[in-house]
Amino acid sequence: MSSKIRSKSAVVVVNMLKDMILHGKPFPMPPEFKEQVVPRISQLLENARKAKIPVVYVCDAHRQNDPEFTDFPAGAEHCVKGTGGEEIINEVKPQPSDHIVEKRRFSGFFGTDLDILLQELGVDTLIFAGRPTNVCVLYTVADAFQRGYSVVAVQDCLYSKTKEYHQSGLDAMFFARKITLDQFVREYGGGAVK
Amino acid sequence: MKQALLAIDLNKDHVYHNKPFNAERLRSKVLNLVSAVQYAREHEAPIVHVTCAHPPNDAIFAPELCEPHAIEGSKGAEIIDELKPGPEDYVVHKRRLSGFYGTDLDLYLRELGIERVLLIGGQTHTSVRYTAVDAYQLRYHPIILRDCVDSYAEEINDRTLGELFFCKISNLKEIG
Repeated sequence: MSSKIRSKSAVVVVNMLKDMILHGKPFPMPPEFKEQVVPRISQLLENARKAKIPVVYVCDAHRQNDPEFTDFPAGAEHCVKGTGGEEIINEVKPQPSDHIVEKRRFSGFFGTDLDILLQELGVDTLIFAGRPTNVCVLYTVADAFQRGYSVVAVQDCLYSKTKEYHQSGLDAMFFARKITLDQFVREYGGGAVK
Repeated sequence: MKQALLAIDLNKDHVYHNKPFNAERLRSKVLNLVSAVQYAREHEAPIVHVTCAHPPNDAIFAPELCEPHAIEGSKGAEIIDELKPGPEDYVVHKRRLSGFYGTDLDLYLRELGIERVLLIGGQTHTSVRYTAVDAYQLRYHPIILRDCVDSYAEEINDRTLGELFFCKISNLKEIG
């Protein structure tokens, strides 16, 4: 389970969606996310593609009146399929070689074909970016760990609605190796990875 | 609403032997755990022990993750004496964090028509948290009994409970 970073990896980027980032739904992201973290995520994805590391977008895509909107006080409508709010933001636009997995719950593995896709890609290590660190990212990382994937969190390519929630999400990932974007670039380079 | 009690990782290694986390805080709540089980029995809520049972070479026993604990068939994997399951109780063995992962817990709860689950046990930041999120995702309404869960440190316990916005956080007195 140790994270051998040169084994066959994929980058999994969680919830980089218009409603969540541009429209503050279901909760606003702080300005430093868009100003600092999004450009780093964009760089991470570009480097991954250059290194032929598969990129998988995991994205909320809700039905109208999804019970998640009303189940708890913090809930609010967001990312309903067909509204445009469920689209990926332009700054990290997917390329034809990338993969997109739609989800309706917190975890990218819940009720989706994410595990099947990763098996088909022959991947054993997942490198995580996106938002929010302490909810959808955390529960996707935990599910990946439970399924036997080695999990890597790129700390400065993740964020939550506050710095504190971001940190507590990272702290909760005792099963993940934590690296920075710089480390990712050093270890993977932009060149070919076997 | 038909409810069940999920008693999480209340095995001897976790509770008595501090494996893999110090369980002093949880041990101080054993009387509450006993009361919760009594409450469930009195209210005919099925009691489900959701507890680790690992093969000796389980992949999660990596040096950077956790020391070996609750090996299947060992004394350490038994439920603590105070909560010894009766013949009518159900025991679900798990190998990962969530009680739902790789187990028949969902199937069992569905068969019984359960709509709401009460969570007790440990630790709040590990198995309780990940069982609670799966319960929510599967549309069981999870209620965590604050006086019946804990982690190795108060701060970790409180911080985790503060982030489980999709659960109702209650305590024995409120539900009883």
